[in-house]
Amino acid sequence: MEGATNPFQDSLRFDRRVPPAAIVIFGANGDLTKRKLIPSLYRLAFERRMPSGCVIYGNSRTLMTDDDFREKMKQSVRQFLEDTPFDEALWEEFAKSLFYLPGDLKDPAFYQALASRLNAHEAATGGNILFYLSTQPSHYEPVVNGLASAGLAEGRGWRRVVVEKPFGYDLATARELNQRLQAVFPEREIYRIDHYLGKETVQNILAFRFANGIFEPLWNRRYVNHVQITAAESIGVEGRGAYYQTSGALRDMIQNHLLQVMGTIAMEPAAVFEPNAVRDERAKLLRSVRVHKAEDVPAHAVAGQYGPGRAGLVNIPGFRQEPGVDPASLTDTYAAVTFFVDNWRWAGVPFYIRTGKRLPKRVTDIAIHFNAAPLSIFDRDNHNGYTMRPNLLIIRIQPEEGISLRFLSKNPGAGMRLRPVSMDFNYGSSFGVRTPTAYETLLLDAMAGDATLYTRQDMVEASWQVVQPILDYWSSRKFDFPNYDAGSWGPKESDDMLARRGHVWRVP
Amino acid sequence: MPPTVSPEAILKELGELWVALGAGDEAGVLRACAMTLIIAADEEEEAGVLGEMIAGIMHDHPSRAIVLRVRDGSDPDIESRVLAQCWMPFGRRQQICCEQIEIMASETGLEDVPRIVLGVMAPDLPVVLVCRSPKLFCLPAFQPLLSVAGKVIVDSRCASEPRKMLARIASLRQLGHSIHDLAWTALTPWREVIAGAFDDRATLSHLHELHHVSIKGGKRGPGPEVWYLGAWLLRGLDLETGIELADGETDVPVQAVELRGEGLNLSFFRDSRTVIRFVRGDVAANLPFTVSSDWELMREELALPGKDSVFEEILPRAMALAGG
Repeated sequence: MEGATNPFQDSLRFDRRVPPAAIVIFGANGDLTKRKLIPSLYRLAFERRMPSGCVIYGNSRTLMTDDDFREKMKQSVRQFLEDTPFDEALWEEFAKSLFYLPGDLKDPAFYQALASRLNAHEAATGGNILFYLSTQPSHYEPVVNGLASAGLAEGRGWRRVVVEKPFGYDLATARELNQRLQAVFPEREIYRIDHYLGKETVQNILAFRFANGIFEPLWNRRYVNHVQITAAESIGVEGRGAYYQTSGALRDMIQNHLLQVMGTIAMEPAAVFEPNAVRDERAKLLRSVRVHKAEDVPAHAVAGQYGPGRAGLVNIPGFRQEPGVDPASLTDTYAAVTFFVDNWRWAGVPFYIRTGKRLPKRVTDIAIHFNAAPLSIFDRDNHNGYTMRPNLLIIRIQPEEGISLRFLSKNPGAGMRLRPVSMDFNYGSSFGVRTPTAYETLLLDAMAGDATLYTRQDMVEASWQVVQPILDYWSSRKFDFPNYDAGSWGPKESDDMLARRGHVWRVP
Repeated sequence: MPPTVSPEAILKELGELWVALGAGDEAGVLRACAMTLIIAADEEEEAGVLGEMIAGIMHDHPSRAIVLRVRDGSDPDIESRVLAQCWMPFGRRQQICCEQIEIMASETGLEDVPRIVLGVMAPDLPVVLVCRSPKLFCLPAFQPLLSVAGKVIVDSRCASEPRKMLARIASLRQLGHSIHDLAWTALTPWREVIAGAFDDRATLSHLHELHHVSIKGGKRGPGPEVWYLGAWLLRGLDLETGIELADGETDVPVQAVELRGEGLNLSFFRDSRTVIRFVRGDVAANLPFTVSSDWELMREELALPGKDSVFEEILPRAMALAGG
């Protein structure tokens, strides 16, 4: 019966099935495991989407028994589970599949012990193993080498490795990391996770663009004036100051998440909806992004760092006053970049991307600014100011996922006075069902072998390629930081960057 | 005698309703409509239950709901009224509203209703007809309404004669109507649990050895859910016979399923609302299970616009099990 299919499956009504597997989480004592990974896996079990036979192994250096680990994870699931009731009976069942194996990631004996534990589950898992590297990047190499030396990188079933960002610190280290991972796992089994791509609305961009006939003809330089992508956070570094000052906004957000979002907005349609076909198009787009020369960087990129401010009645410390941060730190907590895509579709259209911490609110959206009507026939003197307002298509990624189209409409009453109105599609109100979190989607995809929403080596390197000259230029400069107040929309230089082309940042 | 309401009058009233809604709220209201949902029910059906179901559906499938309440008798008068279902999404300032048209007619007046319904359907959007009353479903005067809908949803669990209901579903399907039964929809969690057991390769390798199916239904005897489930299991196991349908002790329509064979016995017991106890040889596990409310079943059905080939295939077998 090898290769036989299950005659009871019903793809119309049942959720997609994935094969049973062992999931091994390195860094299981960390925040990501507690807040995202285990709650997502529990949620998948709750939705009956985890196949029977799955086991989950956690590893860290902390000594714990299986039961200690289960108890700890139970508390995490209770605390971080979103929109789902905690079910005691289900947890008891789920907990039986949770195991813990403490060990030093540099110790070969640990991997031998892991191999022996995983072998014991092979009948149930079919030998399939998903290794999740939720550790510091410095551990990636010892882990994959340890897995290889214990014979865990290949075997009876599939072996896949999920890697969390950062994928390198710059272009050179990204290439080095790719080489090290590929020395053990083939590229098709390496899943570089970018949780932005797992968000429903980012996936919906593909549906919106390629399942509707009316927008695609407008999706080019003839009709689009410019594009603004904003990812704003109202919080600061929240205790991660020491890490953050080695990273910065450009590395932490633009190099990965936001360039991938831009790739999804601007890519050409894939011939088929298959992982490599979609990723090929996204990669092609990223390779078309113009790499700024060093002398062009000041005009096209702005770095910022927040100083102290006040929100409500609370004093907010500046970045340099955050715990663990160098009082003279030159790390960018805000970055804004103007990109151009040098292809026929987008030649000359600016893509403005900005991201920052301690901005007025948490919001991520994409605004497509269309060209205004060529002539205002309604108000030649422009008395009401609205007549030349361009149409705006806003794709909201968070917090309230949806799509809005702004257009002009006549004000009721005598005379031809216009005002902008908005046609709204709200994900939550149109599909009242709960949408899966990005980690639920991506974990299930990795188990199913679907890498559509994961980034590939060439995409990672292409995005490093475009930010590298900016990083190099910034590292050679001594900025006069801080240059924006906590709670504001960023430094003035960022507004100036858009003003040079007659554009203005919209207020999301 | 002509009907006492016209589509034009209803649409005018709807227009006035939207003006009033917009005027009453500073932020305005968001009018949401993704389909025409016609819900036919007996007048006796409790308005509260019906309203709750419609409200539940509206959040996921915002629609122009046309609620048809049919009373006994030969009174030719038809009455109508319009209203809106509104809700405020968490954290937003703007209400979302869906419109609802209620049409009240007698069984005799029913023959004028399709013309009114045709005039008030939301243009260019799918039309789904939900028939809550098995009695209405069998009335000849109701048949024209079936033709306006791309999908018809009925519930054989409510029928006093479910065998006849299944036969009616089958005959209307043969005439080209896309009829779906919530008794089948209600089985999705059961079927998913059973299918999940065969995701295990070792269990799947014994599939062809299984030759006996036993299903324990509710205390009132096997009903549509048991027949559908039995038909589906026989189809999956490629069996024509070897099924035993037994009465249970409770109101739960499907209490247990057993699959027996040479090298393998599988048992599934409904332990609680959220768990099915699964036993395979000496291995036992609690598997997650959910019982869906009426509107949750409707939600599942409304999310599937296309044809259900598994249902099509098992319907004749289910009728055979029902003795129809």
